[in-house]
Amino acid sequence: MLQWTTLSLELGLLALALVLFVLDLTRVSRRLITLLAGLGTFALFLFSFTVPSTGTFTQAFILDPFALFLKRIFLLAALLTLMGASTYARVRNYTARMGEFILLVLLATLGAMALVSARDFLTFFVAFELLSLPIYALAAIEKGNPLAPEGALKVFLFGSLSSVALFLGIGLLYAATGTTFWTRIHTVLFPVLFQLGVVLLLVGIGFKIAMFPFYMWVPDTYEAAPTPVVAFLSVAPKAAGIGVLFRLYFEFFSRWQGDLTAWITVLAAVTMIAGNLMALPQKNLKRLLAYSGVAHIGYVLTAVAAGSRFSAAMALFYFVAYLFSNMGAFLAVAALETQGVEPTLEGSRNLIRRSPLLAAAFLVFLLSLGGIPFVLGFWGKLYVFLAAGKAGLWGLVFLGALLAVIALYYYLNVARWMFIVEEGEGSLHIPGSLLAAVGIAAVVVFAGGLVPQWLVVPAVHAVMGF
Amino acid sequence: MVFWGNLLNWVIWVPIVAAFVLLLIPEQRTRFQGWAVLAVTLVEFFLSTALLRAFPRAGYAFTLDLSWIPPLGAGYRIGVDGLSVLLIVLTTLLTFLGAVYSREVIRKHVRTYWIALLLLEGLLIGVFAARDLLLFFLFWEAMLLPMFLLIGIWGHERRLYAAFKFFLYTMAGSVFLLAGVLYLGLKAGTFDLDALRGVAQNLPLHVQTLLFLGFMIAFAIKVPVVPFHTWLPDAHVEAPTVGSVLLAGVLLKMGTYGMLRFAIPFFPSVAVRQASLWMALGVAGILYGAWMSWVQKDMKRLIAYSSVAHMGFILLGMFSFTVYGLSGGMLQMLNHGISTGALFFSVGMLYERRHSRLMEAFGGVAREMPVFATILGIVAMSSLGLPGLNGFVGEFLSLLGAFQRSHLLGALGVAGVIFAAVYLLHMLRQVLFLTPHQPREPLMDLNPREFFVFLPLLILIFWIGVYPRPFLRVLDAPVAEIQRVIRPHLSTSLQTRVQEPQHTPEVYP
Repeated sequence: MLQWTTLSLELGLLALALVLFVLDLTRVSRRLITLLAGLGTFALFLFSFTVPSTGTFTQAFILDPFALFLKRIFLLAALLTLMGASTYARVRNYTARMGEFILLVLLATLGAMALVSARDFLTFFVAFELLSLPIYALAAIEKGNPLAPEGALKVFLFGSLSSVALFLGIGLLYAATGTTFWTRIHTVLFPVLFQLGVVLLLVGIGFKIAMFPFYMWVPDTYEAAPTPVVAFLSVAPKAAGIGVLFRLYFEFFSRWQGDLTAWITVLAAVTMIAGNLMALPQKNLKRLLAYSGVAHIGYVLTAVAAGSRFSAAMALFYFVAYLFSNMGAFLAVAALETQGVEPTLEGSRNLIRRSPLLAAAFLVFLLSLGGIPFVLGFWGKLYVFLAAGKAGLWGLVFLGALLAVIALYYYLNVARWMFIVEEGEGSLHIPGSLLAAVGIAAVVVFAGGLVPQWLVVPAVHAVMGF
Repeated sequence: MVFWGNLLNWVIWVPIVAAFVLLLIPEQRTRFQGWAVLAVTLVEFFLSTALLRAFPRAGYAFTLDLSWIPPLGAGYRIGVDGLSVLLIVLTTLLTFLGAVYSREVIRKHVRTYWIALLLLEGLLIGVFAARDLLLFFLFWEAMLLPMFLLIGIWGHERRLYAAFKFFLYTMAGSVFLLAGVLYLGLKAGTFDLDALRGVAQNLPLHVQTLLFLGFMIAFAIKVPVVPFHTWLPDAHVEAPTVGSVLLAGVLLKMGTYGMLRFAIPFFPSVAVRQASLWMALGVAGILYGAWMSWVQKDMKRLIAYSSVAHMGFILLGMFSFTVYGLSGGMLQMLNHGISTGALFFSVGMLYERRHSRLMEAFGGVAREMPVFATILGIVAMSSLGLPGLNGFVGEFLSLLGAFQRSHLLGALGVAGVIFAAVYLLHMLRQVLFLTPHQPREPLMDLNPREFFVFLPLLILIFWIGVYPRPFLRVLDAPVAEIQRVIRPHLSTSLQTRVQEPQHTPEVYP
């Protein structure tokens, strides 16, 4: 007896994507299609609160509160991306390809949603590819931009490489265990193959979440790709990758008597260090946010290293904070770009005069990313540290806190250009849809910082299934 | 409703809410904004003085205990004791005077300035009112941002360097604090101060030592205790006048306040073991600060280093753990805020007139600005500890306490008083009396607005100097509380020495 309701969110999204794709072939205006896409995504987000939160569809696909929580994150990421995309497309002259754009974003979202529900390696791989392939195309969608092919090629090459590593890893794991179902592993026949497989698996996921040392493609691609795409790219695949990592941790690795904590601890530390240090000298806002994103993955990996149910919940919460702060920041950059402003530190000079609302929102995002109290990001960091402390990883906590101070330097440096440097003329008129997206994100970051428990408690409930 | 009926709660949130309301007022209407801020800060001052009526008494008043983040055990817990309430009133007073002063002085980004000032005020009060370790940490961190903006936007030439240095230095200290806060919170399952106290004292000694050092490093950077002081001269010199006033007057006290409220009561046995170390660092601060002040040409830098010296007295008194030392240290926290605040206002007014902070740019000010010269003289005397003025009382009691513990440290501390006289008189001579080398255009004496800024400070200088008893009585309970916590950990010989005196000291009945 197949529980089709378990798939209802995925099926709904697929239907939405296909209907909009067909509509795009007719004479319906692109604006209407974008609007429908946004409304549809939002409707699915609301719908996600009514679907039964547990169920399986064969043994390969599971719906549990953990997956559902992440799926909501993906839907919100897609929604914010779509809100930012239409104006951006108009300014950058690719409105004609908005239909494809929407289709690709929705399919990537679908891939991410399937990925966090996967419970066997074949589903996992298919979902992984479904998440990856649209992103290659999205990175190149802005044909007129001379940088675009390079950025797209980089993400494509690295992405393919990660797929290869993943596939090889899966093969080895199959050879070692004789099954692709995570829950059916009883004996490991060839421990060496198994370990090699696990390493390759980590490599494959590492590319996706931009973990050290697989983050080299990130800054170039982020710089070249259209900013709303980057906003999506900086959150959804990373959340999906971390979600999979947690599921593997609890359902797969736990059946094998090995211990990944030491590895992940080192990776988390190195990722934090690399991301934060590389972000320091950046002058391009998109590159800066790219490296800061790497650093944030380091913080989330700290929670992965802690490897407890509590830490999984805290990682979920961290991603909520990161979703709104980071996407907000990227959308604010997109807003600048629509006004012909270069996305650099210099370009953002005196933003407080030129567009006070955008500047205030940007400050909120920066503070949240930097982890200053009373905004959402602070709680994210605090909870992750708390989870790591509970697991006894005080070294990581200390390193993370220390690096957070370094991180504040480059975040505040952005604030300095926006608020303190005074030359810079011409007021900006930020288009409404972008301003709305930025505003919503800012309000969530700010209000969530005052009542974090409204988000923490659902996150804690979401991991009860493990 | 508990939340709305709590006076302390109002005192914390009125300025913060006012800061957000200010966003609604159009940017160009600077006059209206100025009056509005003045009104808010004045109301705020009176609200905070109303807190005083609950004292002296033991324990905490105006307490509020609401659950905030239940899974974490963090609550919205506030309440004040005598020490907090004095510091809160100091904050509101200095902010009000700062608002009076700034109205005519700040020309650019006026609205943003007021917002930063009001936010700073509210968050500072929050720091002193928090009865929950996590809440305290939140206020402690959040307070950095408005101060960063105050220094960075309205400061002098090297303001950005100073702002970043201030921010990153303090944040670096907070890392240790954060680690300690999290560790304690995890151990106790709550962040309630009273509960934490019991948990902290039962930890193994080496853990206690580590945590104590973690807390103390964060607080010592804020005070600043000598090896951690390098951010202070830059921040003070580059900050706008009101920034310096609040920085010296209130922010530095957050460090010593944190020691008294958290580090010492949480880890009394470690505090007792390390008392000599911290007293020695206090003396180092007194001497080093005084010597550095002596050679400065820039008045703001001179006062900045004098702050290092004065905070050394507080540290010296506190860590003697005697009744005299503790009450002297606490009173000195208030005194330093008043005197140094007034000194920074004076330098600011001189700067407004001649756009220089160098002493050699002035001379003969006494003839041109007699009223100002008189005030500056009184303020400087209060700062160097002339008997009859407020500085004397605090320093005298601190030193008395220090002598009870260690004659050597006490004696070295007394030497600091003499050095203070040297550098402050040196400044007075240069600025007020020497005839300038070349004739300069004459300076206007104080206008009524500027005089009004000094007036309350002068009243307090004389009041505390002549009749400190009401202030000391408010501090009685906090002093007794620290003593109660500390006493079991002192060796018996020390217990007799730091014991409550049989008769109250004759100097201050």
